Amino acid sequence: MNLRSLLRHREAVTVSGVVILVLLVMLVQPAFAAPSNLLRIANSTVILALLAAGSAVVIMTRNIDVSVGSMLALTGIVGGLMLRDGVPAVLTVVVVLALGAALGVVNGLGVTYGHVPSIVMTLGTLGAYRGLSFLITEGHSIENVPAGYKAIGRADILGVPLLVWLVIVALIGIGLFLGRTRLGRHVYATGDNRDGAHLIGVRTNGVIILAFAVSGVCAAAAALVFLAQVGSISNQAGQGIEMRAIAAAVIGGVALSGGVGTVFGAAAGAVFITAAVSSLSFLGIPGFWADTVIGAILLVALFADARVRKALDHRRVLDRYRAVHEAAPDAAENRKVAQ
Amino acid sequence: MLNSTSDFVYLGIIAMPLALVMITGGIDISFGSVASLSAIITGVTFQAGLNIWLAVLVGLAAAFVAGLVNAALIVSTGAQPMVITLGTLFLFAGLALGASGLGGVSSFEGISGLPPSFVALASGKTLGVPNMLVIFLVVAVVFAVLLGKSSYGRQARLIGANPKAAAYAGLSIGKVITVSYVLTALCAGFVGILLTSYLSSARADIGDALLMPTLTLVVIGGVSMYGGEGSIGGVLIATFVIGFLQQGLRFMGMTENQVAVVTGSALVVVASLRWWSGHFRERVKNRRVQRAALKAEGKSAQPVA
Repeated sequence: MNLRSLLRHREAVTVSGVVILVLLVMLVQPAFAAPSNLLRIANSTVILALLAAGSAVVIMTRNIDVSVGSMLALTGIVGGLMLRDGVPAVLTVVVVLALGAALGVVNGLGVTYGHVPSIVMTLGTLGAYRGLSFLITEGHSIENVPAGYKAIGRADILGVPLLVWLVIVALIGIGLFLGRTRLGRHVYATGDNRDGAHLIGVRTNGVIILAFAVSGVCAAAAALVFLAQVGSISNQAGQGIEMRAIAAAVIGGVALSGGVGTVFGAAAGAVFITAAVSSLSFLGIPGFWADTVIGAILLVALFADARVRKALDHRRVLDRYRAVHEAAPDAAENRKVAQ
Repeated sequence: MLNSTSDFVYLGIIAMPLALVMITGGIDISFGSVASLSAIITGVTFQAGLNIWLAVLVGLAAAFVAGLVNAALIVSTGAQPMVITLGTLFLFAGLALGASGLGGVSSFEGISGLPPSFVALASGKTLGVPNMLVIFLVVAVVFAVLLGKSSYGRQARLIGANPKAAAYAGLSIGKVITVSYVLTALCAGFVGILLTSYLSSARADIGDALLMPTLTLVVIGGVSMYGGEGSIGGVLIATFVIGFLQQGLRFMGMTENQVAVVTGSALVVVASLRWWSGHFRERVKNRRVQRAALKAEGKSAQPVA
């Protein structure tokens, strides 16, 4: 397989990783590949996949968002309160998504016009948003989400949960936006070379704010999924999940140096993490090794990535040498003619 | 007042070496997991019947190895330190949980029954000063000398400010970077053990809440996220200012979450003010030079006319 196409299609590598993982675990425990279990994995991936997609968009602009877990908790608590107090579900969804966008815009404004490094900005809001969600509920969790809303979490189409379909549609939407629209390409341009993008007329500040807003909306959508699946939400919801979301994006081939990657890759990374963790119980390994497995997968992915990149650079240099040496005799002759 | 310092100075003990790492242009976000790992390994080896001080050595050795793993991965792959330490953040936290699982420790209670001499390490006093504060000040002096007075400190600064120039100057970048990560892991492991002693129980999640407050200290202490800039003195001051600020807010009757909101906002505002104040200083300077130049031009123009 060509090394260059391997790098260009990192999401394909991640997807085949998922397939190989499922096949390997299936050899030991055939029940792992049963449709019901695969559906369970899909169902438990959707939240992480949404957060990973949002994180991926921010990472593509060469920033990072570690506040997604807190945004999930804050938007989820607002949504849970609205649902509990009888606000129509449609209105709640709109308000929650708008709130997510607003929280993301705050991050984006701090990073662009406030000139705060993105990790510092989102670390600050990680604490602040989580604190706000505590202040709203005074530490209690929100129970009694109406049964009508919870039914969304149990509904299915063609045997696959409705929420999984919705998330797939949303991810395809974000993917098309990034890949096929002018503004979407600006996201990649900004991440690849911010000054260059600015010089050719890209509103880099606007693009970065947009990316953080997308991340906020994804976190809010994840909160809506959480409410539908779980039916209640506490202040601790999503604590520490931001690191998993970033890990999923990186496993799926999104480079932290910006400008590279797709939301499909990030979602595939999320599936990979969830499948790997759930395979532990099938392999008879205690659940407390889950974090070790995630860390090991991430490090192996990074190590392989670095190796492939180095080999590619090496080959590029060799090609250049070869080209120079083949061109050299001609150049020497030309010089003779000139004399 | 002195006694209340024990509730926050341990953050400063990690913030010092972390400042060193950030001055070389790197970052380490795995230190919380290293603290957990070293704490639980100390606890498990103590439970296995080893003398507590030998167990502490085993815990510190685990932290040392963790630091070497971080450094080796960062130097050998050339990948961004943030992602590498994100990976080891999971890896070490998982290993800590695994160790406590293998030791049959319940995650809620941890390992208790530690000897009083060990508990006195963090809760005791020397000459009326809490031990934790003494340790913090010693660590601060060591790092201030290391960064300000040693050739190692100057090399670290150059590597952060301009890695290419440092490479052309013949510095062994790998070695300097390795030392910075190993020191961070060692201090994190030490803090894990100190917290174990302070709470008199070894737990696998003891370091989980360290990440954000420690990074806050480093950033408010004036260390640049982009490398090359920062001082230990700044981190030292930040440790006390933030620590006493939070204590004060709590005394005023604020809840833990209101304090979190204030601290988070303070972090963002300080980081933003840093850039804007530099920007305005530059503009004022430029304008002064411009005015002076215009005046000089006016004077030199007259004789000619």
